[in-house]
Amino acid sequence: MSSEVNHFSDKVFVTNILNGKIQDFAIVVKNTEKLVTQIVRKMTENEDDQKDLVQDIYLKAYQNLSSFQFKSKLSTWIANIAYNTTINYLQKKKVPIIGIEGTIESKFIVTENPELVAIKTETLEILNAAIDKLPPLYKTLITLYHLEELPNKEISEITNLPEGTIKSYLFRARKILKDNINHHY
Amino acid sequence: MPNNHLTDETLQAFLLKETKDDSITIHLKVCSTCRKRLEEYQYLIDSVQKIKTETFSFDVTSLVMGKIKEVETQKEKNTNIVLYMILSIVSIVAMVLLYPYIRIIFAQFKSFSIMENVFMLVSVLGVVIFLLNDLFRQYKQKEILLSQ
Repeated sequence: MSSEVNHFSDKVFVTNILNGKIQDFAIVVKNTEKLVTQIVRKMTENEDDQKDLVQDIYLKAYQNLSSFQFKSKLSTWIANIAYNTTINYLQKKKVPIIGIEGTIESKFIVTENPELVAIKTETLEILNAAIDKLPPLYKTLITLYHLEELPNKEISEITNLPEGTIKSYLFRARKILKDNINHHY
Repeated sequence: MPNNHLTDETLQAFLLKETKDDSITIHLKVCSTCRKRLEEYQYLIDSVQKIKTETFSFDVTSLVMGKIKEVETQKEKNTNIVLYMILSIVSIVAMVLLYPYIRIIFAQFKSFSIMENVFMLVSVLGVVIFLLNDLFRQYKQKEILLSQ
């Protein structure tokens, strides 16, 4: 039922915007801002680049709105534009989005008897730092899966990656994070 | 890692309920190493979910809508330029084609006095200005309605 409501409201917004009601696009921006933020912030930390990317992403969405065919949610479609735009940006800057396998993992060895001390704040700080060190794509996938709680199918629509590949990357990313936390304790 | 332990992928899949293999449950009951690794993954996933989602330091909506208005204004200017160019070309072509007939029409006005010609010219200009003004007013009203 809620997906039907989403689809209906997507149709209303898109129709209004295509009929000239530009102000409705501000609502679309507000509704999708959180998802776009997660994708862009995980790929680049430079604020000027973030501003340029965000403007680019929403301008592309606005200019291509007539090509949206309601086969997915509007938020998923915009997140896909966000992902593709950000990937292109990283490729222009020659930043690897996956990174070299093994370089991070090999630094950390899981000890045979690690003690996981429950110091919540310190763990979150360590975890944040560990997530920041992940390759951009792994960071994005971890965020979309665990923080945005998107299903693999929707992540696949956003990233144009097969679901199997997403699962595999998520497994690797979690292993790297676990090894990082274990190294500190 | 010894071969009889569960792989990291298997542990994660089990934790996220992506697999329902009973042999995993049986193995976990007897293997403390794998149980400990499973707890580590559980702790990791719980911790990741507690991380606060990040926001931008700038107002996204204002930035985006400002850019869109800028693009729309430029698009309107470009459309107006093209429209004026087309109208100018059509007017020039019309005048060139109608020139022989205009000469005949203007020849008629030689038989009228200067006052009569001025009166006719002012009347025609007045009607044209009135019609153009009305058209422009209607256009502005529609523009306001569309932007609401």
